[in-house]
Amino acid sequence: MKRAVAASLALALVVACHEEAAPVQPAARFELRAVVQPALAAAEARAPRTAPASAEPSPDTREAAEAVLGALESPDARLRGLALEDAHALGDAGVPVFAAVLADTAATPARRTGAAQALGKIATSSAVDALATCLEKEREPWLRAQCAWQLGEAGRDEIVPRLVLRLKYETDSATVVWLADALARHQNLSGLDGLRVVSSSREDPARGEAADRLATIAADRGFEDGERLYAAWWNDDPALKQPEPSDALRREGWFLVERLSEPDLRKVDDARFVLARLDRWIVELLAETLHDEGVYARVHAAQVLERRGPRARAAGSVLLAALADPRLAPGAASALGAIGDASAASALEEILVRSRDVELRVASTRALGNLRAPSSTAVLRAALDAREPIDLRQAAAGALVAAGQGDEVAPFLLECLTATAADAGAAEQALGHWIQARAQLDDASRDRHARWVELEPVPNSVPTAEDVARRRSTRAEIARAAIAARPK
Amino acid sequence: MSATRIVLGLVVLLAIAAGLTLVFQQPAPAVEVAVFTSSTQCAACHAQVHAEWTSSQHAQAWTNPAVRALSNDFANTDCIDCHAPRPVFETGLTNRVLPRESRRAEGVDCIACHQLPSGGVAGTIDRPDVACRPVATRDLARVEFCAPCHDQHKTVEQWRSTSYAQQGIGCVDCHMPFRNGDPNQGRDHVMHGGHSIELVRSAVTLTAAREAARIVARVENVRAGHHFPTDERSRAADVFWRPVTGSNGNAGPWRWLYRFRSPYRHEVELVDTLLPAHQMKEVVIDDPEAAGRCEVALFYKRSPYWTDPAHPDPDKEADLLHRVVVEP
Repeated sequence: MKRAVAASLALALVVACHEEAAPVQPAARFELRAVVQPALAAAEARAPRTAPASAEPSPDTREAAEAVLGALESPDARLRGLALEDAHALGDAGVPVFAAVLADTAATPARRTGAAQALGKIATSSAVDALATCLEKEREPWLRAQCAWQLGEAGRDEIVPRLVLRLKYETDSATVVWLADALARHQNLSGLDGLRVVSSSREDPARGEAADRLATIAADRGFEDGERLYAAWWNDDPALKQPEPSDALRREGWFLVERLSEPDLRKVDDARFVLARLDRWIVELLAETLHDEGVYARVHAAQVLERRGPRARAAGSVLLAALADPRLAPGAASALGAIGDASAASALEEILVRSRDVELRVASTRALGNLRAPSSTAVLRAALDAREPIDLRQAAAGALVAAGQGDEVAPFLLECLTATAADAGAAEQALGHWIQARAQLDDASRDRHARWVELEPVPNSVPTAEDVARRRSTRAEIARAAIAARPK
Repeated sequence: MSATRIVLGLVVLLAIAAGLTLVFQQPAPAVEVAVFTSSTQCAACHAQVHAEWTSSQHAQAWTNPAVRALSNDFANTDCIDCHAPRPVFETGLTNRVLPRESRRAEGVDCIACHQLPSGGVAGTIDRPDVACRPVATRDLARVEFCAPCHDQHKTVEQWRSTSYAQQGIGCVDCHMPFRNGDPNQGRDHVMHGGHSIELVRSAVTLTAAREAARIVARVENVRAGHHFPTDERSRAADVFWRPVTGSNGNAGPWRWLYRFRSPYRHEVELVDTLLPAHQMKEVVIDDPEAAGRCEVALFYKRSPYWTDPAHPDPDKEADLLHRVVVEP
C-alpha cells in the first residue's frame, strides 16, 4: 500500500514537473461591447445627413442660375463678384442647376468653371456633395483641380474624408497639388506626401506649383520648409494646431469606422486609407472601436492605429490593454511598436518569452524591433534559438539589426535568403538595413552599401523571378564580404 | 452436467464475449493533435499534395516578384489579408479573411485553408487517430470557401448568374479537378487558374468570318464559370487583326481591335468590358485593308499596359490564346 502511495506521489511529481509553462494569461478581461453602431447612430442624430438637392428648380431659379453663369464668364471682376453673391443667395435651390452644368461634358469649360465657382460659394452640404462627386467622376483633370480648389474654399470640414480618399486615386499631379492645398485649408496635412513627391520630380509640369504650395503651407504654420512641417505632422507635434471636428465630420468619422467591417475589401482599404490620414481627433474613435464586439472593426481599427504611427500615441494605453484580447492581440502588438510606445516594451518581452501563440510572438517581436528598447536585446537573442519557428527567428534577427546588433545575426539572415520557409524578401530588407548601418565604418563598407543600393529594382518596374534570383545572389555575395569584414 | 455448471459456463462465455467486444469495438486511441506552424510539416504525410501546392500560385502569393513589386514589398499592407491570410475557417465562409503575422512566406498555404478553429484540420474523412485529426468538411468544396478572397473582384458573384451555379458546378470542379478524373485519387492542389494558359484558352473560342464587305470576329465565353477574364483587374484579353500579304504569308504588325477588361478605379475613362459566361462579343473589322487574307487573334495579358501603347506588340508582351485566318 505504502509503495502504491509513493509511486502515485512520484508520478504526480513527474507530471507536474513536465507541465509546460502556463501561457500568458490576460491580466484583466478586455471588455467587448457594441461600440460602432450606437456611436454612429448618436453621431447621425446630432448631425443628420442631408439628402442631395434634387427638387426640380423653378423657372425663376433656373433663370437666376443662368444669369449667374453668364455673369461668371464676364471679364469684369466686380460683376463676377456680384454673380457669386447671387449664387450664394440662391442657396440649395440653385444646386441642381449648377450641378447639372458641372456634369455636362458638352458645356464650355468657362461655363463648367462658373458652375464650380457657384457651388463653392453656395457651400451647403448639397453643393459640396456636387463638387466632390465631380472630383471623383470627372474625366477632365482641370475641372477636378477646380473642384478641389472650391472644396477648400467652401469651408465645410465634413468633406475632408472625401478629399483625402481622392489622394489615393488621383492620377493628375496638378489636381494632387490642389487637393493638398484644399486639405491644408481644412488644417489636414495628409496632402503633404503628394506635394513632396510632385515637387521633387524632375519632369512633372506641376512641380513648381507643388513646391510653392509646400513652402506656403509650411510658412503659414511657422515652419521653415515642407520637410520640417512633414516631420512635425508625422510625429504629432503638439505645437501643430488641429481644429476640433464639426459634428458632421465626426459623423463621417464613425461612418468610416463602420466601413471597417464591410465584406468588400476595397471599401475597407479605402476606409483604412482615410482613417490613417484624418487629424488626431479620430484616434479617440479608433481607440473606442478596439472594444467593439465585431472582430473586423477592432482588428482593422488596430491596423489603422498602426499605420498612423506616432500620430496614434494617444491610443497606447488601450492598445496595451487590448493585448488581453486573443483576436486583437497581434494587431495591438504591431500598433504598439508602430506608435513607438516605449512603455509597452516589457509587456511585449513577456509575451515573447511566455506566450505559446506564434502569431502574437512574431508580432510582438517585430514591435520590439520598432521600439528598440535596450532591455529587449536578451529576449530577442533567446528567440534566435534554432528550435523556434523560422518566422520568429527572422523577426528577432530583424529586431536585433534595428537595435544595432546586426553583426551577430547577419549570417543567419544570409541563410534566410535561401532557406526553406524563410521569408527571403524580409531577410533581404534586414540585411540591407545592416549593410546601410555599417556604411559609415570605412571605405570598404561604404562601397558595399553603394553596390547594394545599385541593385535596387527600377521604380515601377516588375522584375521577373530570374531578375530577383540574380539580385539576391549578388547581394548575398556583398553580405558575405560584409560578414567576413566584421570585427572578430 | 449440473445446472450450476451450465450457468457458470454461460457466465464465463458471456464475460469472454463482452471482453472481446470491448477490445474490438474500442475506438483507436486518439493521438495528441499536432500544432502546425508551417505547411512544410504537412509534406511528411501528404507529399503529393504538398508538391502540387508548392508549384501553385497560392504558394507564391507572398514571394511572387510581380506581387512584391506591385505591393511595394507589401508596404501596401492592404494586400496582406489575401496574400498571407489567417485560416478561412477562423472567420467563416464568405467572410473576409484577416492577415497573419507568421509564415507569410508560405502565402496561401495548407493551414490557411485546412486549419479548423477548434483544432484539427478540415479534410475529406474523419481520422481522429492521426496527428492532424482531419474532420470531414464539405465546406472545403463550396464556392463560399473561395469567396473571402476571390469574390473581392466579384468572381463568385459572376458565377452565381451562370448555368454552372444552377447545375452545382463550383470552383473546385474546374480549378481543383480530381486527379486523373478519379475521386479516389483526391483533388489536384496546383489549382490552375488565370496563370494557366491552357485553362484560359479553353474558356473561350474565337471565330471570324467575312460578312458582306466586313470581317466579323466573335469571342465566346464557352467554359469559364465566370466572366472572361476575371479576378484581378490587371488581367486583359485583346483582339488583334492584321492583313497577310504576299504568297509567303508575310504579315505586318498587329492592329488592336478590342479589349476585355475591368478597369482600375482611377481609370475613370474606361468601362468594364469583361465577357460574362455563356455570352458572345462581336467585333467588326471594317477596313479596306481587310479585303485580302487576314489574321485575327485573341491575346491574354496579366498586366494591362503595353510598353508602347501606340504600337502594342502582343507577340512579345502577351500570350496567344486563339488565332484564325480569314480568306478573301
